[in-house]
Amino acid sequence: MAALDQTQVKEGVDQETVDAVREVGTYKYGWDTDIEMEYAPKGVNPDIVRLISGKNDEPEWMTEWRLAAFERWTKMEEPKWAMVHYPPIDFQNQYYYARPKSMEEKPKSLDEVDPKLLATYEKLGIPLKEQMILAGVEGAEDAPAEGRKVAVDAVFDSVSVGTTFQAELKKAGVIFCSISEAIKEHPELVKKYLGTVVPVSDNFYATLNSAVFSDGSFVYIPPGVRCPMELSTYFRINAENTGQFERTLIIADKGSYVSYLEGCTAPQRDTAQLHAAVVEIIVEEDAEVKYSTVQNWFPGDENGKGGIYNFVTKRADCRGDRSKVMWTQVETGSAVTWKYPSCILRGNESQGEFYSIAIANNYQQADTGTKMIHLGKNTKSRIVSKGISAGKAQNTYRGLVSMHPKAKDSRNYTQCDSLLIGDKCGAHTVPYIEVRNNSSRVEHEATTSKVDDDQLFYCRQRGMDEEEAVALVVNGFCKDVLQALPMEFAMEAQQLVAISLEGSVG
Amino acid sequence: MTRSPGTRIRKDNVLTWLGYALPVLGGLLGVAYVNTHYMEFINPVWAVGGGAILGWIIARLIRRLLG
Repeated sequence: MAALDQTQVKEGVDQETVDAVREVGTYKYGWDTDIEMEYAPKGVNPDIVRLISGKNDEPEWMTEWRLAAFERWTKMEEPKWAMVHYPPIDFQNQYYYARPKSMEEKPKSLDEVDPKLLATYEKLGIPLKEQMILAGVEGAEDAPAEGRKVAVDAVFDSVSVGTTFQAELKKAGVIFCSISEAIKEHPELVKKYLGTVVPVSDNFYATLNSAVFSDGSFVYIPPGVRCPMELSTYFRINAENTGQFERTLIIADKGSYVSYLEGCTAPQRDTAQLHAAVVEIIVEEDAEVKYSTVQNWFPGDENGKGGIYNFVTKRADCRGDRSKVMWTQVETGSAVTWKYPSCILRGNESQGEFYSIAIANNYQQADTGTKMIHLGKNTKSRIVSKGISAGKAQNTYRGLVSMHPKAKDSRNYTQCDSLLIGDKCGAHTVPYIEVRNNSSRVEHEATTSKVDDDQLFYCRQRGMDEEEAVALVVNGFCKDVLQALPMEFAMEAQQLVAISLEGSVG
Repeated sequence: MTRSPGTRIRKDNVLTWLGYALPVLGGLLGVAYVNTHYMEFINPVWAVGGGAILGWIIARLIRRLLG
């Protein structure tokens, strides 16, 4: 790429073409928004916890909850068991709260909105109609919506900038708002469910999140309601030296259904940034939740410099009988990924599904997998994990399937495939299986394969270049998981998979 | 081979044809069921075999009723 920078552009070649060539193999969302920000002082201590709580105008019980979490966190140690290596994180040398100054007060018209904020949404590909709502313009929600309907909650650094289609969702009884808003508007629901799936003391990063989470999304689907549109949250880290700690709480009451998608991006920087999120899902009797993630944080440059350290705790509790939860994730970004979306199958005949693609290129490290904890009778789970390693990356699948004594006649099927591209990367599989009754059945299949020269030769014979050939092989490898994504995002994810592996061959 | 305008479809031919077609259709439905109800963890061999046998039984019943 340096050579390209030094090359003089010939006459007749337009700048757009030069920029397009330059962008090949680079992170598409690596730009940042030059916007005036308001920061909390660096570091984390009880005063910072109180300050974050104060900024969100939270009630006293919430502040106390956060302080109790912080107290626990100070006594905890960072987990070292994962197969990821990174320099020690200085938790006192980063900002825990950053928000655009223009978001101090909600703008009333488009003219009042910071144009840079609007330009950011446009560049990220959020539809123009929704921009007005995301920018918080009053009345924009009532205008008729065009095209596909996806309600978006946009989180920019530490704050939720806005949530679209709230009024329309409210008509169906669905509550979709930022968690800071939910704490004020629906304290009874938040108090009842927050921390019941991922307890405050769950793990080091979840406890830190409980103390300093600044915003996130809240979803409540009332009994018997099928959510009329897809819900989604878009996380953007923009500020330098700032961690993002968001919290998502989804409650699907009896007989309800919701499909939720989250996406995330961050600017390209030389220094690593921390992202520690917690997602809690409560699924009641006969309810169903589909949770999809397209994770595209900055993965670091080709020398492993910079990137996001992504430490996430995601868990769904299938409390009611016949409840269902489905996790689908496409993990292409992050320098370090530490993430194990789990299902607690408590209700009888409840079902949990987990589909994952984890792509690690250059110096990326991913330690990801799932936990399926079978507690109820006739519970069923299915795990399909696809790990792709290229460059000097390390990819680990770590999974737990636990059949408890009361989980009679339960079933699990696990398929864990790894694909290696090149000879310097690694794929590791660490499955844990615990069966404590004699009527349950657990199946585990695992394969490790390489994109071999024969496959590439066969494709190249038919006029494809090497990159296209690899993309074709990889897309075939990932097909099972891509099919599980909502239709609107499957194509996007497929392209992302191909882009993530650009430059990995040759 | 073209059929002459006066030739009618013979019942025997249809019944013979059903004897082959329904087991095949049953097997295909078994495959479709396994794929759409993957969380029931049904062995595809049983689903295809069961579907085919069910199709054969239905074909026999039809033959008995109409034959």
